[in-house]
Amino acid sequence: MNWLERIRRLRELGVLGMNERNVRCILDLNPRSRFPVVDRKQEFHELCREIGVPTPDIYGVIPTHSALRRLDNLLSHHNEFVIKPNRGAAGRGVLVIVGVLTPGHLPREEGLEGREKSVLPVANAPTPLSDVTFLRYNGRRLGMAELLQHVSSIISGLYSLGGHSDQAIIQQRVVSDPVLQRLSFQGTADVRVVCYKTVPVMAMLRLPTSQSGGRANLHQGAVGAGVDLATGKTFRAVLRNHDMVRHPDTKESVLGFKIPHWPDILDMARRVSRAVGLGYLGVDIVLDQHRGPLVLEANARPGLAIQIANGEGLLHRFAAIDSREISGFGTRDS
Amino acid sequence: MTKTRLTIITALVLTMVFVALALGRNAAERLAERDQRTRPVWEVTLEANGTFLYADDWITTVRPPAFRQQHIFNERFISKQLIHRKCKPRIPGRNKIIWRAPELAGGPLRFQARCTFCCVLSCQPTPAMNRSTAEIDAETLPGIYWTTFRNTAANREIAAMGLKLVPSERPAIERVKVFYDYVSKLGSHPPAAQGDSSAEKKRGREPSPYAVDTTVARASGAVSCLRQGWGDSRAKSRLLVALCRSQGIPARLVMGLELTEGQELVQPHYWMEAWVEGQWLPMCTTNAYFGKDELPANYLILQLGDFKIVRGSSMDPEYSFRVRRPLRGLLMSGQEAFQPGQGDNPSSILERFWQKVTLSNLEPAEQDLTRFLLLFPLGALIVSIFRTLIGLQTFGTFAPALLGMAFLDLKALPWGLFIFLLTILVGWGMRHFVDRYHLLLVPRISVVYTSIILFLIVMIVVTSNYGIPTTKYLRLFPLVILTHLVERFWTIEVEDGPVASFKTLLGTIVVAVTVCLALSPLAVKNWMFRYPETIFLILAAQLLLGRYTGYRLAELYRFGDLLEVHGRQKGTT
Repeated sequence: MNWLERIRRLRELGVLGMNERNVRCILDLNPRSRFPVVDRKQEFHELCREIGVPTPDIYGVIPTHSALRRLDNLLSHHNEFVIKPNRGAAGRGVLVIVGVLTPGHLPREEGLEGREKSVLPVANAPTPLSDVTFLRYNGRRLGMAELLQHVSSIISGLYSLGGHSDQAIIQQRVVSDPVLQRLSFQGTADVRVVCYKTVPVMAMLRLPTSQSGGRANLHQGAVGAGVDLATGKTFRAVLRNHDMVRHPDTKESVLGFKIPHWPDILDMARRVSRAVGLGYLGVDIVLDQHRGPLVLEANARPGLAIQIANGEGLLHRFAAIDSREISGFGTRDS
Repeated sequence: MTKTRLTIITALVLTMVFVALALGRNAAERLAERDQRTRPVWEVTLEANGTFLYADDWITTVRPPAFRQQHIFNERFISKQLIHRKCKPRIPGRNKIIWRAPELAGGPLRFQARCTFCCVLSCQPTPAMNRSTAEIDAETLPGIYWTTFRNTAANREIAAMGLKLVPSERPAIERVKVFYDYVSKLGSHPPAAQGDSSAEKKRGREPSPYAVDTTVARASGAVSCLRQGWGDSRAKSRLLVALCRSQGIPARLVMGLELTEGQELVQPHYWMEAWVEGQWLPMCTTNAYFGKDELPANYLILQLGDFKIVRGSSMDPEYSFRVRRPLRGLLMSGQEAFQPGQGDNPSSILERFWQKVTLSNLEPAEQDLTRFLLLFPLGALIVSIFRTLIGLQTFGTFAPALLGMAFLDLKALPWGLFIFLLTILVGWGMRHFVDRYHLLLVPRISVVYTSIILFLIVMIVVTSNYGIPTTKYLRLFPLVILTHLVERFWTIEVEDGPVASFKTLLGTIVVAVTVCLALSPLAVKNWMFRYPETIFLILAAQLLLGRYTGYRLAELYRFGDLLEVHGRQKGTT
């Protein structure tokens, strides 16, 4: 196939290119002033709470080094939590704690394996935190001093790409729905819904692999499975831009999987994109074991791999929405 | 869509501005060209040959001042063996270039150094020329350099002659005229009998056909001229300078060339200037010209003051001057830019306008800088093309362009690339090492930066011990951007894996090499310098790229699977 032929057929399929995404979607539809809302996790969390969209709880924010004193108090009530930088990117600086071990209740090493990690002896009694050991998701242990060091690094801006000083967020740990856990390798699977002018236009299920290191980013090697918007069923999957059927690590077929709570997920995406005020938005939704769908974060520059995962271009769907003549954001759509 | 339309309209306007400016410039140049038949452009080359014996040997060569009505442009200093440096003149009117050997790879070094420049005499002075005229022709007060007169026995002889010629009560102008008349009457050549015993013959050495034998310097001094009663243009001018200074009149020797058609090899010519009635009064005793009005327009001034034309630290190199009229074709191909106004009456407003906005009106040093700066927009355009049309990933946005400009020329490109890669790898290793310490961003980058500099210095020292001057191949300064590249390289490696980071490195190199290849031809540099309005055209192209919504070349393959699957589905359903 020569270039012209390729261009012609991509146009036919309505595939959105990077240049067109930048010009038509991001520059023309996403006002720069609204970016901080989605880039800063704390602000986004508050927005979600205002509009009543469920989102992982934030236990506390450590904005400065002096606030590190409060960490003791914050952590004493929780046995599972995630510490992440407010403005981090691509999963850097995220620390997942799945258990708190008091000196008296050291579990045996075998107990740490598998997924039961999260159900561990818990410090109910007010043990001084300086004595406890934190158990990380990958099975390593962490002393209080090391934890403090990590939070301090986050605040100093070690993980924020610009090198600006940052804030550390202590967030509820999302435990994936068991149906999704079966499909993915480590990490948390999520559903990415792309909204165009507040209407969900395309969705995919992102499953971490060993290659992606537990992260759900497609360009880092996660599996992306196209989801039928009407039914919530996966019908096609890609790994590194190529077609595939079975998850490389769990060997489970990822096709034909029906995502639970599908109508809720679409509704949440719609509400978030309306509230955020960005015309081209990717909403990442995780399925918590107990709480059901939770909006984890939103992305003002969602990538184009979703088209490969769905085997279809975005442009035709954009055109359909444009032709419905929706004027501006926040208006009704059916 | 309106934004796209706005962009297109702006781009069109910019293109039209470019076309209008370029046409206007061309028209004005054609006007100016008509004048060039009467006021020609000259190309002068000073070539020095010699041998360096010691590692710290150096030579200096004269560099013409751009002042009064002589315009100098397109200066080039070329030597395969030596590196040159421009000096700030300590004495006004005495510009020079210092040449040194980059390294002495054992044994004496034979060298050839060539200074070439173009000049136009008697043109309308540019602001830069006016500034240096003001400096060189400033008021001369007693005690400054031009009045120095040592009270030695030989000089007393000259002073006595000066007093004998005219009493010191007479006004300066009158005395100078008397001295001038006296020196003018002296012969230029020795009487036939004396010719055999001239200094050159005594030393039993055939002087080379064109080189000026510097060993006769003593014979062309003021005193010997006075005693012998004859002298060449230098000796006579020196005598006149000495006579003036002995009577307290500031005077200076002028060295230059008489530019005449059809004569390629020229000897330096000497005349002098005396400070009389608040201005410098030029006099040529050899050809009998007295005063500004008599001095012909073809006298090019190379140096003011009695200094050697080419001076060496341990030897006096041979040198020669060549003069030619550059071919008209050469002029048109952008070898040189538009000339500043010719003659006294710039013929039209258009022409006067172009005189003002021509880059070759700048001082030579500023011309060099402008030449270099003008290349940046082109580099940026090339990067934009690679990123938006082809979709190549690079580290940073303009780092590849800067990198491309860091490679000095094509011959050195492989070597420059090698140094670049080596430095990146060292920086990358250092970055991995530093990662253990969990340093904060800015101090961490400083550490990497310092270690890169350390590596570069070590490399310069090591290679120069092996006789390879690294600085010949690479402008080292822009390599500072490497720090940034190393950081990006590392981030991409950590986040997306080593394959992605090496791919990006490859993309960066491809862009850098393309920039280097595209910007290195002299024609490109000359075009940009001659038509700086091309920037508007580049701007238009950049604007259009900014609203380009087509696929990137890389995307045609990225979405390849999509095409195949779709084709399959089409077939089955």
